[in-house]
Amino acid sequence: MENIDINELKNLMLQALEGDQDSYKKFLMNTSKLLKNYFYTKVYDQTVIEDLVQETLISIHKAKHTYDPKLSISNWILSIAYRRYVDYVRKDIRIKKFEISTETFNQYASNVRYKTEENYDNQERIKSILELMTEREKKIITLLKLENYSIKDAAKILNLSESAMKVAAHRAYKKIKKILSENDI
Amino acid sequence: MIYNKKNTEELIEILAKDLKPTKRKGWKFPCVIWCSMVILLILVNYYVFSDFFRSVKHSFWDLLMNPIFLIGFIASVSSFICAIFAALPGRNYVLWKYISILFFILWGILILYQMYVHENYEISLTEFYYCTTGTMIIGLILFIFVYIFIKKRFVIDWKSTILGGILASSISGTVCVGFICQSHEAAHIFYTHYLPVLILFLIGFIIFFIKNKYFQIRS
Repeated sequence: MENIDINELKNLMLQALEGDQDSYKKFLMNTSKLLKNYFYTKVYDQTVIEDLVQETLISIHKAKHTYDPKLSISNWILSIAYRRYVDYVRKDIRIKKFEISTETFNQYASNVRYKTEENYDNQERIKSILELMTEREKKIITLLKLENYSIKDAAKILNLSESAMKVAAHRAYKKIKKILSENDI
Repeated sequence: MIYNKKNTEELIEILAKDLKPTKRKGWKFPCVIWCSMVILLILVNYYVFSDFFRSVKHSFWDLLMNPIFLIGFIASVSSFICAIFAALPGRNYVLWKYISILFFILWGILILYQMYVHENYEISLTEFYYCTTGTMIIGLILFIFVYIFIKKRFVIDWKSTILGGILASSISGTVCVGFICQSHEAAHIFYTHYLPVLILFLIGFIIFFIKNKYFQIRS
């Protein structure tokens, strides 16, 4: 771990506030080393550390007008770094809350695929069965079984009494049974 | 300017190129402005609005020496300092947070104690509406100033900054209204001056609690 001279860091910052770009560059270089050391104690992932260092450098750049030379520069830098770390932790918690592991996701995806294929097969079977029925029977089956109307509502749509509807539906089911056994659909 | 993330060296180059001479923004100037603004509002309220709205005029110096107003004023200034310090990285705002909460509680205790001593627990509704509306309006105006001050700094702790700001502006608002308020009974001060501030503070606290729990607050 490299040692960073805090006094030098302070001088560089004071020169940077005057508009000296070289001093500012040196200041940011040294600060990034300081920040890396700081984040190493909190996070183990190298890419996350790099991200946090960059986020903090951007924040330092935006907050440079708040630096008071009477105060310790390391306190100033680390208080910004700590806030960036808190933001990261909050973000991480949120992501983990809604994250699905790759294994669970693959399992879920294969289930969805299986169900979609099964649904597609069923739809095809229903279509081919309906093609063998009369228009009236088709309407009855569509209303009762595909569009989930009640007997009462379906009867109203088809201008039938409830009992007539029940009889017609019963006959349609019987016909489907017959079609299935005869045609092996 | 939006800085896209690259590798750290490249980012440093970009930031260095973007550097301009920077003027420091501290805390003393806004604090002086804040105190002057509160005092100015008190004076304007007392010498201008009290003639319009009130027939009974209490002595200004008697009011100023009233410990309830004095503690309220200290609570307002300390919570403003807390808000400003929380917007300045490296400053110890935690101490000011406790000082402002301490004075706010002390203020409440003093009012409750006077209520208990004078056995006075009832208020008139007209006074209630007048004082709470006045507190809200003046508080809102002052809060806009708090917001401008903190936005020009760099907020590292939004919760403390905003809650400090709410406390500072609402207490100042209520103190300003207190100077032209006809009733100075403890019950009246508690229900129409202390309670609205407490409610506003609690609303702010709940909003932050919910935001922290369900949404990310970016400092």
